[in-house]
Amino acid sequence: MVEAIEGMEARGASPLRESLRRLRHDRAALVGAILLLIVLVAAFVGPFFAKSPTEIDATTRLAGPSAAHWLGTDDLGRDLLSRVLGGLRASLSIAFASVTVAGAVGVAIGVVAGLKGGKIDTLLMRIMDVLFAFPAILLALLLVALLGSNVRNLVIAISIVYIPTFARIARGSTMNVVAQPFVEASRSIGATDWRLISRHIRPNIIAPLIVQFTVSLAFGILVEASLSFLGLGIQPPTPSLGNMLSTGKTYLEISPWPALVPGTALCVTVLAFNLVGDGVRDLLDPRMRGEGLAGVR
Amino acid sequence: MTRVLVRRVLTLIPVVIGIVLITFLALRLVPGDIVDVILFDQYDEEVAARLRTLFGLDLPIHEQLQRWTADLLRGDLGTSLRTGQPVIHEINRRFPATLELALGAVLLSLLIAVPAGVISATKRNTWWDYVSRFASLVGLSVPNFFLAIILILLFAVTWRVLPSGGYKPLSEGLWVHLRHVILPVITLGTSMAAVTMRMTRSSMLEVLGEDYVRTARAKGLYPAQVTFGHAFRNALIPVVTVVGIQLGALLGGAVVVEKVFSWPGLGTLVVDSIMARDYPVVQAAVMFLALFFVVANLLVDLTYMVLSPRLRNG
Repeated sequence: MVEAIEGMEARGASPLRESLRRLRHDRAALVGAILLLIVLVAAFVGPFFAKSPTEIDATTRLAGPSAAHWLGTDDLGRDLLSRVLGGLRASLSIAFASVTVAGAVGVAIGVVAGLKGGKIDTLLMRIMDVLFAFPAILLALLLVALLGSNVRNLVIAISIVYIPTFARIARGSTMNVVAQPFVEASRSIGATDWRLISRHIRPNIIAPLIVQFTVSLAFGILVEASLSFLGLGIQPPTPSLGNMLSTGKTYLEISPWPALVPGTALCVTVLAFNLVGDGVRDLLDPRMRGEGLAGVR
Repeated sequence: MTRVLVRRVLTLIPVVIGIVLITFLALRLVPGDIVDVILFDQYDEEVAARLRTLFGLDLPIHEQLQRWTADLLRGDLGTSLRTGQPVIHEINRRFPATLELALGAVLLSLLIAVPAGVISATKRNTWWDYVSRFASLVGLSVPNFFLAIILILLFAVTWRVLPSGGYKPLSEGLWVHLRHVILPVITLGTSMAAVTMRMTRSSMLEVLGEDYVRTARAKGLYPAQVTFGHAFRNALIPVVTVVGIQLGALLGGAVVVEKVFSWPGLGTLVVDSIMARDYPVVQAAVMFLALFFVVANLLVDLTYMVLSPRLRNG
């Protein structure tokens, strides 16, 4: 009986093909997708072909671009190209891990709050409100300072910052779905909570969450870079875009390259995620077109 | 109006209590305890025991919380481990510098974003629109500490017209003071302008499509009258909200930007105190900034009510 009623839900013909067709017409998103592809290849394939990012060469300190070092060298004569590739990989991995954790925990909290309502909802959302009351970077800073700066703690800190955003979105969408007659019908014939979540809630709340996931990646990268820039993220000699910029700032008077190279890489990466994020939003939720605000904190 | 106001203020109470609780618990949830973190590699039983008594860590947790709230209500935010001074003095001394940056940045962002957004919307799909939209996208994607470095590279290192950082009080002259304010304010203001401009544009576009705007045009008003008399004020309402939402990003950004420009505000205090493991200061300053963010948001909401009669009675 449950199967029969649920089988009556309308299914889209081929959402993926439709999406790809529309993406081809969104030039900004296309540029973003290409940039993103370049960044990903550079970060995850590039290091295999590059020099060692930690090899010190005292004879070529703070040099400009040359045939041997395409983007110049830093204060210890290390190859900036190799370091920026390694830094990109670190930043992207941390951002991806943090946003994934934040998404998983936040969505779980939001769905439970939206489905159960009442006291559980109030309690969970009050906790989220409080976390949301802290400026993002400040909260991450506090957490890393207390937990100690290593990769695991960076991921924990950044994900805690973004949990409330996902929880709020998941809760709102869940409440909308739960109010629909088909959920009530499903409930009345004895569907369990788990069944409601997997059959009705999940497919209906996934779109705004995907949008938020993409946008949050850009912010995750920025938060990680900010923390590393302040000396609280990835510790040298392991390269990260943030700690490279911090070193680069010290040598601005002698050579701009150690600051410009990681800074530009950071901008291109964030720009790529923003463009793709806007594109995904337009694709999945045309009502929000052009606002570009989700996650700004 | 009063009822709405009271209700809005009441919703703050759980948030404020939550902020106080979280900053209280944060120092106690550290693996081991905070004294281990502070002493790190110079651990000494006797010093550790003295520090634990100083923080009241030897008391049961509910008594610690009681003591911490009681101190807080008396305005006692603890004592700095580095200077031995009450933390509240340090916060009082540094808050005006942070406030100056924040206000300057909000002002600058509005001066750039509102006209750019309005022009972009009224001259949609023209050269104006493309340039300002592209500029806002770039503004969104350039992290403020990198923008700070570019500005330092240009204005301080290459052209040598502005200082690369530091702070001079007003008493040394207005121009001397302003020279040090310009770069940090530009850094913070432009990244904020990017988001505000996008919001102004989309909000203006929406209002310009409303029936009453069409009516105003149809009865023969000049375009400028329609834009400013009918559309602008209504379009401003969501813009105010966005400014409020961004205050958090602004305060977080200020932490990083202050550090880049050696600006002696609360942000620099937080970072320096973290480096020096001066946790009572970190705890108090973070709490203060979070509370400031909450109060600033309240003020934004009040502005919102003044602008929107519907909400005033709602």
